[in-house]
Amino acid sequence: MVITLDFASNVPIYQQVRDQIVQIIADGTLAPGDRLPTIRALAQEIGVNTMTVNKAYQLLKQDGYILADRRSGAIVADTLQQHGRLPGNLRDNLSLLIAEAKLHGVDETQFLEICKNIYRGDEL
Amino acid sequence: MIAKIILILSIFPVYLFLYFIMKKAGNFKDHSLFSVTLWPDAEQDPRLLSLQKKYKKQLFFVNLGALLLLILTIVPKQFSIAMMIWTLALWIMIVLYDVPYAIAHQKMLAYKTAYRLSQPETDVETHQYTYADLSAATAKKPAFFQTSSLIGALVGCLPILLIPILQKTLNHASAPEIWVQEIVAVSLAATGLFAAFLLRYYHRRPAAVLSMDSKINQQFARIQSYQWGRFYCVIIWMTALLNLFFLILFQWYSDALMSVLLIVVTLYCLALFIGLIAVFRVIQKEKEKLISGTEILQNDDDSNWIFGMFYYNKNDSNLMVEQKVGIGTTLNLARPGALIFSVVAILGGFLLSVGMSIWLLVSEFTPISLQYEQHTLTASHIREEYQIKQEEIESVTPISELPDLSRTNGTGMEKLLKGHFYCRTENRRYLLCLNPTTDSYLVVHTTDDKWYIFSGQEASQTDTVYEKLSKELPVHQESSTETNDLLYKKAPEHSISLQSGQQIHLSTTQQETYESVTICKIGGEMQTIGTLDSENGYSFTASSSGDYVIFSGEKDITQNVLIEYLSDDTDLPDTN
Repeated sequence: MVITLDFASNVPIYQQVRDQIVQIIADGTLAPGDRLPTIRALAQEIGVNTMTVNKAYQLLKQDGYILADRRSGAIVADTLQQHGRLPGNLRDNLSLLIAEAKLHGVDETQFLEICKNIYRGDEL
Repeated sequence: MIAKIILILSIFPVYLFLYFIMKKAGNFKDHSLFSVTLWPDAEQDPRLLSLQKKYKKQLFFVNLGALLLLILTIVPKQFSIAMMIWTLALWIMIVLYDVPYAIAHQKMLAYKTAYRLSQPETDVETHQYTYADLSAATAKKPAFFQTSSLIGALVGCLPILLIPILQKTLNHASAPEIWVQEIVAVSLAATGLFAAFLLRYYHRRPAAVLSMDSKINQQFARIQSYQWGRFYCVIIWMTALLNLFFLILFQWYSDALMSVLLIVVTLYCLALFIGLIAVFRVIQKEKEKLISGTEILQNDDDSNWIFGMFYYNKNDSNLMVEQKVGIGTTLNLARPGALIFSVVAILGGFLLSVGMSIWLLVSEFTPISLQYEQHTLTASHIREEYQIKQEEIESVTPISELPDLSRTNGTGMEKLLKGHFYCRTENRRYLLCLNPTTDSYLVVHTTDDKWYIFSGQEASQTDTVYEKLSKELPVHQESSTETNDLLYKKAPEHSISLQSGQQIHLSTTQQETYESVTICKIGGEMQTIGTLDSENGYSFTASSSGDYVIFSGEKDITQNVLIEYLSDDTDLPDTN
């Protein structure tokens, strides 16, 4: 469960933390019901302010990936795969991604192949 | 000369330590060299090998210069000048040892930039990757030897409480002042407590991320925690035992204090040094074992290392981080607390050591002053002044040779002995302010049973003061020709003035016989006559001009003795 952060990137650290945790949940390293580290422990481990981790956890909670409880801490939500549909903001992101892939000369077959590989975890 | 040799020998391990550390810093470590993370195939780059060679060559010459500078301390006669050279040499060396490293670091950065620009798909964006293990944040951190270290630190505090109790019950004359003992005890106890605090902090630090495999990272964290925990625990207990040892030393063997102190502290530092190297080696070995066959993750954080030695990262909230090269941890200077601590420690260390050398210099070159004016005996040196009023003086004894003394608290130099000293043969504590190169000293015993030994910068100054004193005060004259230890409790009421070479004949009236008769010059030597009666007279020739008194045992019999002047001077004796 190693996360990689780029402090020189334009992407805010809280966003990077949020994205990395999403990837860990998606690849099954963290299963529904698994406990996430406390905000303080994770902040100490990464070497950032607790507010940064708190913001990342807020985003994860907002997106429904984790359940946060004051007493038991944060746990991975167990209703993740029940929806079966892409939320609106992700659909928009995907549309933009497909458009950019087209501009780079990637055709539909190639694009779907890349998606399959990433989805299966080959290139994740 | 012995002091200077001790000085050189004491600094030698520091030089060796610095040289060893800096030489090791020139090796590849964790996929980096001179604090610069390597680029692909960099280890095969011939420029890097030549840079390493050049660095080690420069380091060798710096070391040679350091040794030559050290030898310079033998040249000056005065200890304080040697000490000043020694202190400055130490600081110059600490800086100079780092220069080749900083140069090599800058070169490495230039090579790395050149490599990146030479790549066909140059990544124009700079990255500063940091890895963190979520498992380490979730799991309980290993904390070996924490309790035993805390117990050790508390045991180390015991002497602080024991010193006043022992001082009160034993009351050894040889023991140094209580505040001196307490300063040593508090310093060592604080060292133990600080080490225990550091260990606690160390156990809470972020786990090092060596690999994407969390098990490897956790295993390495356990190894580090165990090894450093054991090292800290041993050091804390060693410090506690050292503190208890000093307690015993102060109370029972304080006359051998300085030599034992030097040996024990040197052994302590040596053990610390060996332990540090051993722990570092074990951890490196275990690390190599763990990461063999796996892909190593290396933080590309070159920009965070100023000259490759000082860590400065605003994005890192940690106060302490693992050294990129060398042993142990370093402070994150981007944190205000760490910056203030570093500046205070370095500046404080520098000012304290140089200040101490200057103080020694001033001490050695400032003459001692001894005077007796307005019925007060004053011995002074720089800002220290010992004043004894006439009515407080029980007796004054001139001596030409110092008793066998050992320093318990004070200054000991070639031309200066100042402070508290202990004489084992007499089981007595003396307060000294004298120049040991002269051959004239005054032992002063006060009414509150305190003993002092004073001298002027020159013997003549001491003699002048003694002459003044002897006219007003009770004197206890040291026998220079006899071993008879005559003690006068009262000033002689009568005396005879004699010129040098003047001869007199002493006898008594028919009824009187005196045993153990001596004739003494005030402030001079004493001559034994033996039994004196009317038949057994005694002829005496004055070796020098001055006032003479005649004693039978401790009784002044000057006025009871018949004196016949045998030399040309036929004047009647001038009897006060």
